[in-house]
Amino acid sequence: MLKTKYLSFEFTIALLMLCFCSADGFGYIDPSSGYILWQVLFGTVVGILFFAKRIWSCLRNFFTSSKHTDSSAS
Amino acid sequence: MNLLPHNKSLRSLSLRDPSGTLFEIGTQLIRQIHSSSSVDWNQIKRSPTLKKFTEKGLFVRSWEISDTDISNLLPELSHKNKNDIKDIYLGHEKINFVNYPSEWAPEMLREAGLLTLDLATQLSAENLGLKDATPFNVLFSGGLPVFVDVLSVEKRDPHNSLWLAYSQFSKTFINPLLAYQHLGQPLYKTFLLSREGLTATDFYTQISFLKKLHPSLFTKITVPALLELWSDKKLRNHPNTEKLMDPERAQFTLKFLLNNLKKSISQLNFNHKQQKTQFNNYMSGESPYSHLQFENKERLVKKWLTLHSKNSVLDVGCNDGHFSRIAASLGRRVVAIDSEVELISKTWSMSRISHPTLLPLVVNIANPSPASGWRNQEHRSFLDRTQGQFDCVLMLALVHHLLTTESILLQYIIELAKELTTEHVIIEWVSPSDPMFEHLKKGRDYTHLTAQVFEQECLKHFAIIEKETLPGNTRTLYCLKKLFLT
Repeated sequence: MLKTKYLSFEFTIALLMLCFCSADGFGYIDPSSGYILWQVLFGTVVGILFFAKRIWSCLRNFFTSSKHTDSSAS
Repeated sequence: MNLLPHNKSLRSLSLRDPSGTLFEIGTQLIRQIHSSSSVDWNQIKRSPTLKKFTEKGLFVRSWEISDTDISNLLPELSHKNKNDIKDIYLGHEKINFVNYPSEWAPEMLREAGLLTLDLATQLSAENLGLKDATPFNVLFSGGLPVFVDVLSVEKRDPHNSLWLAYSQFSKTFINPLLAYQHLGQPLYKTFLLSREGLTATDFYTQISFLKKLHPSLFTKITVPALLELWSDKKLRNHPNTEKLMDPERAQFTLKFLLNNLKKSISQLNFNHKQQKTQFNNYMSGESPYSHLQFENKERLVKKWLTLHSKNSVLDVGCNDGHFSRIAASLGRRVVAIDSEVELISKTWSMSRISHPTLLPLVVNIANPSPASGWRNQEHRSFLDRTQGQFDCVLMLALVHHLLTTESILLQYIIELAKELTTEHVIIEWVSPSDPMFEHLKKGRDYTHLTAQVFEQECLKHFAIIEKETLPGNTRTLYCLKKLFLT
C-alpha cells in the first residue's frame, strides 16, 4: 500500500517535472519530446516492477535467512 | 602500417557528430577524435564489450595512428596536437562495398537494429551507451552487419534511465519496419525521402483508426505520436532529458526498455507481398528454363566465373541469388542487386550464413540509388560506388527486361555493362522469339533486335571470348572482355 502511494506520488511529480522543467542535454540528435515522455511513462511502470522485484527478493532473503537460522539453531 | 603521404585527396565523411571527423585519404579511412572527446575515448577503448564485438567482427576494427605518422599524412591537421590535450587519430578497417539502409531488405534493417540494441544493452552494464542509434552507423560486410561509428559510444550517467537515442532508433529502425509491414512502404521510399526515417506523427496520420489500436502499433506509434502532438501544443519547454534515480533502478529501467525494443523487432514477421513478378524464380515451377537449359546455363556461368573473375563480382538482376552464390562459393566477394525487395530478402536469408561474402542489395539498375544527404555528398550514388570495384559483372536474363519494361535502348545497356566492369561481363541474350520476351513486349515490335545486332553493339566495347546458345535456340550466353581503347 505504501509502495503504491509512493509510486502514484512519484508519477505525479514526474509529470509535473516534465511540464515545468527543461534541461539542455549534450547530445546532438533530437531526442523528441513525445519519445521522452513515453520513456518516462514506461520507466514509471517498470519502476513498479523494479520495486516489486526488490520487495520479493527482500521477503525471500528474510524467509531464507530465518529458515537458515532455524535449521542451524536446531 | 602503410601510410600514403603522397596521396592528398581528402574527403570528410562525417558532418554531424561534433566530437570527431572521419576522413577518406586516398584509400584509407582516418578518424580524428577531437581533444574535447579524447579523454573519454581513452576510457571507452578499454571496454570489454567493444573488444568482444570487435573479435566477432561486429564492431569495426580500429587502430591508433602515431603522431609521427599523422604529421606525415595530415600536416595541415596535426598542428592541433600542440595543445595539452591532443586530438587522437584512428585508422579504420574499410568495408568492401559501402551500402545504405535504403538498399537493404527489411530483414537486414532488423539485423542492424538488433546489433545496435545488443551493443547498447551490453555497454550499459559498463556505464557506457550509444549517443545515437541510426542504421547509418552500420554497414553490411557481405551478409554480416558491422557497427562502424566508434564515436557513437559515450560515457553514460549511471543515474539517468533515459536513452536519448530512443527517438532516433524508433524513427530509423522500428517505424520504417512497421511501415513496411503495415503499409507495404519499401525502405528505399522511407530513407530516400529522409535519412532521419519516419516520425511517429507522420506514420500516425497515414493509418486508419483501427490500425492505430493494433497491438503492434499502439505503443510504438499511437502513444508516442499523441504525446508528441500533446507536448507540441501544451509544453512550453522541452521535457527534461535527465530522469535521475538510483543507479540500480536506472540500469534496470534502461535494460528493460532495450530488451522490450529487441523483442518488438525480433517478432516482426515480414509477409512480403506475393506479387506476380516478371522476374520468376528460377527454381520454381514457373521458371522460363527447361531443366536441360538451366543445367547448361549453370555449367557455363560457373566455368566462366572460375576462369575470368578474380576478386569481386557484381550480379545485376540477381533474382534469388542462385548465380551470386555460385560466385561466392568460388571465393569471390559478390554484390547482388535486384529491384524486388522479396528476392533480396530471400537471397540474404539464404546466404548470410552459408555465403558470408555475398552482399544482396535492393537496387533497380534502371534507376539506381542517387547521391544523397548534405550537399548530395554524404551518401554516394550506387554507380559512383561501383567504379573500379568489380572485375566481373553478371547480367543474366536482364537485357530483355531493360529493353521492354524500362524501354532502355540496347546501346545504353551495353555501355552501362562497360562502365560497371573493369574486365569481364557474362551476359545473356534472350531473343524476341523467346516466350518470356513475347510476354514482355506487349504488342511492340522488337524483331529488328537479332543476336547479330546484339553482338555488333557488344563489339563496340568488348571482345567476345566465348558464346554458347542454350537448347531451344532462344537464349545465348556470352563471355565478354572489355576493350581498352587508347
